[in-house]
Parts: sequence; C-alpha cells; structure tokens
Amino acid sequence: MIRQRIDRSVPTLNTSSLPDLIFTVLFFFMVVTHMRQVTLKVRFRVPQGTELTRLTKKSAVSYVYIGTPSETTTGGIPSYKGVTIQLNDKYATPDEVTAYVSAERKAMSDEDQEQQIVSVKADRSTPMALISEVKLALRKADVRRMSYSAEQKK
Amino acid sequence: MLIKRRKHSVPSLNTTSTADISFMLLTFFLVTSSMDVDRGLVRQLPPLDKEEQTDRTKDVAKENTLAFRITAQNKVILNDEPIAATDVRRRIADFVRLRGAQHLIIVDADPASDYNTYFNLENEIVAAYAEVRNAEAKRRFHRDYASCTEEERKKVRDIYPQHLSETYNTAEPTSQADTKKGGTAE
Repeated sequence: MIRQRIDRSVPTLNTSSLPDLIFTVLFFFMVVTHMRQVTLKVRFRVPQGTELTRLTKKSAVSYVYIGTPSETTTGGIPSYKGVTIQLNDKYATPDEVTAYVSAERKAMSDEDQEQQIVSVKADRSTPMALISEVKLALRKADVRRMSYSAEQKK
Repeated sequence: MLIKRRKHSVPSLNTTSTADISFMLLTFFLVTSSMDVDRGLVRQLPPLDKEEQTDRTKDVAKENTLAFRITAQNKVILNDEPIAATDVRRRIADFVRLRGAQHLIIVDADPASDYNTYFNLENEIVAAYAEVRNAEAKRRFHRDYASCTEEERKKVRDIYPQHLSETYNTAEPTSQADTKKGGTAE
C-alpha cells in the first residue's frame, strides 16, 4: 500500500484583510473624536458638578480657558492674581473676550449663530472677579448661552 | 520562425505595507484627537439692557426672595445666616415649590471668593429647579421631565420658571450691579 505524503507545512496567514480592519478602526476614531484645536497654555482643574449637559454641537461652541499660565516667562502676560485667560493660543484680557466671541460667531453658519454657546473652562480657584468680568464681556458680545465646563461628580 | 509566446499576466500588487500605513494613520489620529466630551453647566445670560431688568428686582417683595451671598472666605450665606452646602438644594426646592413663579433668587459673589464655591451653588440651584420640575411633571403627566414632550415641558417651565438675579462684582469698586433672569436651562 502506497501512502501519499501529506504536506504538513503550516499555510501562511492571509493578511489581505488586515488593512481593511485597521481602516475600520481608524474611521471609528475619526468619527468619535475631535481634533485638538488649541494647545493649552494654562493649567486648570475644572470643578465637579452633578447637573451637567453634554455639549454635542461642536461647531456652535467657542472656548474660553482660564487658569494659571504654564509658560515660565511671566513678562507681558496679562493676569489677575496669577490667573490668566487663554483665547485661541494666546493670553488675553477680559476685554478681548468680547471681540473674540463676536469674531467666532461671525465665522459660524447661520443656524449655529443662534445656538452659539461659550464654554468657560476655568480653574476651581479662579477669583470670582475674573469670572464676573468674563461673563460681563460675554453679555457685551450678546452671547445668550454659556456653559461652566465641569467634570461629572461620581 | 517560431516566436515563443510570453505570458503577460500582471503581477499582483504587494499590499503587505498597507497595514503599516493605516496603522500610522491610526496612531496619528489617536495622538491628535481627544476622546473627552465637554460637559458643563449650561446657563443663560441676560441681555445687556439694564433698566428693564433692574426694575424687575425691585418688584419682588422681600419675603419672596432668597438672597445668597458668597463671602471672600468662600462661605455661603443665605438671608444673613450661614448655610451648609448640603442644605442649599432643599431650601431652594422648598422655596420654589411654595412660591411658584413668584420668587427670586439672588446670587452675590464676593470678587475675592473662588469659582468652585460659586459653581457648586449654581449646580445646587440647577439641581433644585430640576427636582421641582421633575416632581411637577410626574404629578401632571406621570412621567419624568426629561421624557415629556416639548409642550409639556413648557407648561412645567411656566409653572416653575427660573428667576435668578446675579450681581457682577468685578475687581473695580465702580462696577454696577446687573441682574440676570435665568430663562430655561435645559
């Protein structure tokens, strides 16, 4: 009886679908995440709250960051008791918030303009004087909705 | 003459590196994007016409107001008496439930006080209103405020509207008091 020799070598793994798989993961990440728009130049810890709303409509949101400047060169940075405002990559005074927010609104589409919402990401220890000034500046810019950015309390 | 027929099959494209390329793209997107969703306490800001708004404050009788004050030492004071942060929500909820639309909450934060105290107070105010509205929605429509239709929500909002007046204390002593009437925070 002649037995035929069976080829016992392991067949190579077919990896032709691997790029497709990875592309799927890539697209998933592209959809669920959003690009970081600015490099943060201030350090802050937002407060914790329970009644928070998700800001889903990203195109209608403008951001105002308030915290301690992370750059060591303190000269020329407008600050109030060591706390400063960051708008779009640069430090600013409360008065500049009005112009910034108005400019942001002009860049939005018509429907977004009505729903414009300004998210204030401020450090917990910011003095209220600065927060009040920012709020006044927002009112001067005719902003109707604002959001105090916070973390969900566990 | 005999010409040998050459085989003209196109060689298959080598796609082994496509996986590497897409991996690089994936890594790039992972690094540049952020997963965190922005959450926050959404509040309405009043328009900047002062006369009309300040007059409203004077119309409300003293017994219909809750005056919160945050001192420079970050203590919350309600009608000249100190109040614990845990009691704030219950006090506001009881007050709003009792008075309905006839009420006013005044928030006055010292310029030296910090944002955390103010934020917590604001959070408690929103929570108290949500509690009252939710109870009313359950009583009238037998379901949560969140699952009501837009008309039903509007009815509940009209029964318990948010009346909030804030003083904008900036660093300069010349700053005048402005009031805000909070409308409908979602």
